[in-house]
Amino acid sequence: MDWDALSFNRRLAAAVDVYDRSHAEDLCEQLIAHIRASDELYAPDYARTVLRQLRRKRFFALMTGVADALLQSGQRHPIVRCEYAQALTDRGMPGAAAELLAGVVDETDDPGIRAEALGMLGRAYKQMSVTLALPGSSRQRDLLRAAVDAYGRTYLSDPSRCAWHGVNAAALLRYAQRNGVDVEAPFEPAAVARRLLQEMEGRFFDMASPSGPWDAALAAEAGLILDMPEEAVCWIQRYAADGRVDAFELASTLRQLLEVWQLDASTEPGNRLLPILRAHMLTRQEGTSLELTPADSGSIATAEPDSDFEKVLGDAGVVTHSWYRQGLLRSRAVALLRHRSGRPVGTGFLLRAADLNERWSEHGTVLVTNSHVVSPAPLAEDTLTPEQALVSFQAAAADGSASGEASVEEALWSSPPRSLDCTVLRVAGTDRDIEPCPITPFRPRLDGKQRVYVIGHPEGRELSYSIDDNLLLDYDDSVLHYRAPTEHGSSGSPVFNRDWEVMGLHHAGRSDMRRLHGEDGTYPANEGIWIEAIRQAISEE
Amino acid sequence: MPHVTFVHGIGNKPPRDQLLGIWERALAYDKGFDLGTRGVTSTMVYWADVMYPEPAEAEFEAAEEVPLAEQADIDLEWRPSLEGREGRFVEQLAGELGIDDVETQQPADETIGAEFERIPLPHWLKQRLMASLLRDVHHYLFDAEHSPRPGERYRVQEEIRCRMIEALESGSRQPGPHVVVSHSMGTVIAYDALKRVKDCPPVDGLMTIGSPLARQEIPDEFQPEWEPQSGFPTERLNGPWINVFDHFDPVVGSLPHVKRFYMKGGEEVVLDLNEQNWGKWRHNISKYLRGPELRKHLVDLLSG
Repeated sequence: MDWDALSFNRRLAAAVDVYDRSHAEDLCEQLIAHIRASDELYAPDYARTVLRQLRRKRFFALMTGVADALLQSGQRHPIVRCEYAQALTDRGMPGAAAELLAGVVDETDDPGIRAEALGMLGRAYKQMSVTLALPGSSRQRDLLRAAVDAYGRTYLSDPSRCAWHGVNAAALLRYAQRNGVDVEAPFEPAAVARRLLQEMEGRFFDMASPSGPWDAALAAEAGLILDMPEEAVCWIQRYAADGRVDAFELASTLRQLLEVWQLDASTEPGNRLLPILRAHMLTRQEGTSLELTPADSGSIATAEPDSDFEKVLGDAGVVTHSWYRQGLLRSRAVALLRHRSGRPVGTGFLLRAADLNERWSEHGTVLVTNSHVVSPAPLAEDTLTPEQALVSFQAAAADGSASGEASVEEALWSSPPRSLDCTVLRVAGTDRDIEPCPITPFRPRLDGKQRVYVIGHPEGRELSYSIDDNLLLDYDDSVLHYRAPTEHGSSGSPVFNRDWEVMGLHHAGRSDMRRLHGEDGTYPANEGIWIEAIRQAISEE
Repeated sequence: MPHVTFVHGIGNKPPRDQLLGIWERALAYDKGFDLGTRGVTSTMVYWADVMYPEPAEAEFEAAEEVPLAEQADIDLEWRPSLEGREGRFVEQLAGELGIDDVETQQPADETIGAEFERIPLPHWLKQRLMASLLRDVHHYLFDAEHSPRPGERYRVQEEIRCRMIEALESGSRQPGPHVVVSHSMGTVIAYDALKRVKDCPPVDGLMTIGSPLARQEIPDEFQPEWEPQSGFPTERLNGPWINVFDHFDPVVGSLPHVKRFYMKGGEEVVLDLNEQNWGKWRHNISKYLRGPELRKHLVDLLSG
């Protein structure tokens, strides 16, 4: 059958638009099969469109698969190699990316492609240097120098067209300064920043020559280079509110502010910049999971935005931020459950005991988790008994309003994993400090548009908001299915609705989840237990 | 599961699904009432395509002022050919709405009462908006023929009534309370269906927002089914009627309370609520739907 590249790109764009990962996977498999079965090289323009579509929603694994198939077929066009390198860097493989890009830089005569490859090469070196576990070492110095050289050379070749290279070089020079790393500056960072800000002011409001989606993020960094935090906040808000800026862009900027600018949410200017980006990431209809440090969630949730902040955000921005803060406040009631030896096992969350059972009002608040995480009668080896479990509320501990770790006093109720997979625990000392999560009495509309939000500790890591593909798929009287690829260790996490009320208890995820209501077939989905089903089961006992 | 049937108002609108999304988001905005999360289903009685050739761009979600689509110059050439009662109706309503007024110079600092803020909506723009109201109300109440696009002609009332009844029938099949939320000209359509269409299914609550129903000329045209003492649509409205207005909304007029025209057995039972909007264009539905009183009463209606 003839391959219609244009029609394929349209179908892929449609799947990516609605964040239908499984459909995008099917399409990529078809494309790879076609590339492998064809004598002709796949046209580089079409290949670029495919790879950039995948990049837009951070489908980096799919990007890698397609790009590798193209390389295997002999399609070594620089564009393909650059996009492949981009995917590798984003998947945490900047070393391989740098090798690919160095080859492109050596071979190409096209100044545009060369500038792009050098920028990506700079990014790969930057990634290697800022994530190095040997800060201040000669290896870090060499990597930083290589990054500044790649960015700096390109900037100096054409300062107007390569502004982002200049800003990146300048940001790295500031990083080196802050961390005492000796890196020679090819230019004065402040001069690059001033020039960029001047250009941006003119271009941002020029309808004839509109700015690109990245420009406002660059201007924000220019504000940081010049030590003008107000300028940075103003531009980051414009950037985050720009409809053209997707999950990929927001995540990249957030990473830059965290890794290169080393901002944190508890001090200036991180306490103003980071919430704006994170709040907007959560409101994008799709995107990526958002990991927070306990300090982030603790400090932002408790701090009231000041009036200047409201002016900068504007009306809609304040509402977005307020909704985001509400989510952070909920995260204070989410706990990591560990074995006393330190091994992380799962997540749990606080509810008002009386919300689960009127007879339990004397218990104050209780912790809810899966019975495959904690159970008085464990059925699996890695399930904790209440005596083995330690509970830590990291977000609440970070702002000093709760103690670090607590032990379990008793299991009030448990239902085995094959039934409601739930255990309700009484935890020492949780009554005073942390507001429990409210429960929703409502079932959302099943119209294919409702979203759920899962907050937990995947793999025992920092608190994470799962907003990746978080569409509510279906539900029956006991369980709800949603399309959020939460990782292991999210077991026991609360599943929230848009109003940050608990709908369910996350307990499983499968690529071949059986459909509900007796329908044939399977689909990739996560499963949570309706909190209402748990409430009913408790009251019937 | 409760159900809301929305009915939109004057002016051109974006396509139906987009318009429904805009209304729902406005209602949910800033810790508001999120229908989807609460499991409330909804439909929009969409009739802009009966009056306009093509849908408008969805622009007014964030707009504080009058959406461009609603600023369109409305053709009133049909007016001079009207005679008799129809002619008198249009002339009286046009007079009420100030459509034929020549602009008078008003002092720049004119205020309307010490406690009210100035309304700076330009005269020409107000005239256009009121012309749109005049045309829509006339074409609906007198079932005029209208051709929005080449090759398509509608009897305006017949077509819109049909869509309204279809939406109400669909909503009445839902198990929970069924509430009609209408805006502007949509309130005329909703009232007409509930009061005058025998096959119309009953509903459990009615909310009229920014309604012209208190302009004397309009209820007069609902006769013989309507008279002030029994204007409440008792036969098909099994619950409360909440009427929400802003004093500076030019559509509602200077006496916005509808309770005196739509009594039940001679008693005033409609709850007239003053919800203070802001900015130049107080008739904007997105502003009304952010009102705390409106939201509170809608929650009550949907809770049965």
